[in-house]
Amino acid sequence: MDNVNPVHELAGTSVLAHRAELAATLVDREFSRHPDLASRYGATARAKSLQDVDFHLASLAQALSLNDRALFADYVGWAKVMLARRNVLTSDLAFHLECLAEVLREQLPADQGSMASEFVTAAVETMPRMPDDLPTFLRDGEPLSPLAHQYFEALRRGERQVAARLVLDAVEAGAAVRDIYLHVFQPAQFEIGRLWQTNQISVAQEHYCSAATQLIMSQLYPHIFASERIGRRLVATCVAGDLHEIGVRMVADFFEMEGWDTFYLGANTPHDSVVETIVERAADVLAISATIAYHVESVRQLIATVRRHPVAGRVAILVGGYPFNRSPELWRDLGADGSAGDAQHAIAMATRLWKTRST
Amino acid sequence: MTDQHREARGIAVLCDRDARIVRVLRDDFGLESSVYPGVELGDIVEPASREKAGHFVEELQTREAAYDWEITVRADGQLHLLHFAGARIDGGFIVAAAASRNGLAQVNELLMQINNEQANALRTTAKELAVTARTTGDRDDALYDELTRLNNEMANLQREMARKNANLLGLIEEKNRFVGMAAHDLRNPLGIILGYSEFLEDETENVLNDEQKEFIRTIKSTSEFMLRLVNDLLDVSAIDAGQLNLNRAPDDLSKMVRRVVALQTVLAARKQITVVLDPPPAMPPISFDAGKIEQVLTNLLSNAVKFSHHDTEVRVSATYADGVATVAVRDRGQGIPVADLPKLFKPFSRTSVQGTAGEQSTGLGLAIVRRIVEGHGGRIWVDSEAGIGSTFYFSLPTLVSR
Repeated sequence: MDNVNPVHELAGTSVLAHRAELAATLVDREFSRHPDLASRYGATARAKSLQDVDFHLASLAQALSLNDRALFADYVGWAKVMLARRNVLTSDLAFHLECLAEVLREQLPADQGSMASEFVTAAVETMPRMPDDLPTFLRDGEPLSPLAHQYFEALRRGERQVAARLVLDAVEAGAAVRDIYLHVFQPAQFEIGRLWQTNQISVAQEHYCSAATQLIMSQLYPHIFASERIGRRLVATCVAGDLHEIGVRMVADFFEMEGWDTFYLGANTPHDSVVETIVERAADVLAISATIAYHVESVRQLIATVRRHPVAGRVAILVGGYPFNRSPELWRDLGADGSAGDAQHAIAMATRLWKTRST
Repeated sequence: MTDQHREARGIAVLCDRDARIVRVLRDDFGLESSVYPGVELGDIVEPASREKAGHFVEELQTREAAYDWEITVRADGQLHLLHFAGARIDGGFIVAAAASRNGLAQVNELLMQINNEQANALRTTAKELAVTARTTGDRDDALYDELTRLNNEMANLQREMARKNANLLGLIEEKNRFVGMAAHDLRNPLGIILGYSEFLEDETENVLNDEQKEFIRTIKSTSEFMLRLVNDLLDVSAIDAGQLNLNRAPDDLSKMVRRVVALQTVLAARKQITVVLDPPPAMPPISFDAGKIEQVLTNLLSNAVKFSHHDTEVRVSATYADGVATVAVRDRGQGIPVADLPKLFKPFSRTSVQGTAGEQSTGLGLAIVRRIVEGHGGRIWVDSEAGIGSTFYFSLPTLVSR
């Protein structure tokens, strides 16, 4: 990541502030240049296009304020697969983004406009090299892969009792809860996301699978909370509005299995309550997750609130989640102490931070 | 082709109940090669959408109508995302698909000109559903999000509960260990006090006056009681810590009952109480821990004697029916007030009833007895009436259940 330049931040703010006008101009322009869009995509084409632009702009604003081109390019890659499977031609998406670059250049103040449009153009240029489809996350040959397959298929058929039995039987037969988390729940959750992204399951099925996995996971809690304590404390949370809590809760469970005392606070927890919990529980580490780039700003605000507090401010802060995986240095900019790509790295990193702080 | 015509391009087919095409009513996409009678509906869509088409058919079959399902179909070498709708008609379904929701309505209009009855079925459903579809689409999304939030909150609470539960279990275990250790450490000094008071009693027979001898007797009996209390505490804490180690072996329950009764008869005689045993019937061998069940029966019998008046009778019987052996100990004592009954088998729950010769109780005997019986998969209960007497029962299953 380059140094943060105020122009980037301003550009990010402007994009967000003018979202509605930018979107309207863009959609007018693309439909007037390509009247056949309406007939090819039907009566709702305009409405859908407006909705899409809104998402593009939110992601663009975030990438701009973090001065992180890769973040937006990554979003475009995701959108490419998602839209392709919904029969939006990749060439139409590229055309749409080219129009966006134009509109940004015209409507934003000069330096901000050219910066924003550069971000978009850079992403469009890499589009041909972006994959058209996503490979399955349920790979053969991985540990427990037959179980992961059976588990996922049961959920997909809507048979959560069967799925639960599979997991509980495996644990009874000696499978480690850790392995079930890593090699069954995790790929199953990724696969659900992939199938939704590629239009193979409905949003209802997606929600069902996640809820069922959560319930089955809670049946393993007696195993997780029975491990020997080591006197270290973790507070974990995700920011307001993020619906994807299951991942960070799984991370907290891994810490618990390693003997940490963990306190998980849901997405609806106000920042002040997070601070209170850190103080009350004398937490050593605070872990914050964000699933989409759009939520990174809230992470920054939460960190700032925590740091302002004289006692809570001393806690070691770890961040994680998709945007941090795509942009490995992002944590520095937010004032965190580190970032980890998965539960095991998070534990290693937290342990290291804990040791530095306690010596 | 005008836009309107392009939008109105559609497919309409009649299917049987299994979603197999019976007749093609309309085919503006030139799908003759894939859409013809005999083909299943699921086979006319793009392979990746087959599962979704399956769900569409399922909805048709269960709800008799389905509206606005976006499913991909390949035509003219291109992929088309079509809006599918269907409704039940005599003996099967009518299914129509068009490039847009709007187009679907137009396909309907055109269909009406061809076949009024069939199109009407579809049109009615489509209209009813279309009114709600637009608003419910948005509402469903918001509801899904809200459900996810709700589910997340429940999951968080559940996690917190599991964590606290684990903490509590840890505390209980710690408490049991503490009680066990404390009791264990008390036992040795008590044994020493008891031993020395016995020496004193023996060796000062001719030295001390009567009052001094009474002091020593009190020291001795109090120490004995404390030792019993400590032993009971150790029993309870061991059992609560999950250490009720039962050494079960098939044994003759009747024989054991006879043996315990014989022993207790001697002690009862001191209070002029007669212990009567109804001759037990022959019963199959039962798997139980002889030492522990002997402890149970001894406790029940000594309680009966403790709370009975002079010159009364304690009656013991053992019966066997339906795979369950039941032992009953009936006294003609003071009985237990109704208010005391519910807490009878709980630790330290002494009743208002006193031993007739001033005997002391640790308040743990029945709690231990209950844990032992239940550890065998059996049951213990009491029938009692104040002023008339009590009957304590315990039953043991012949089949060991785990």
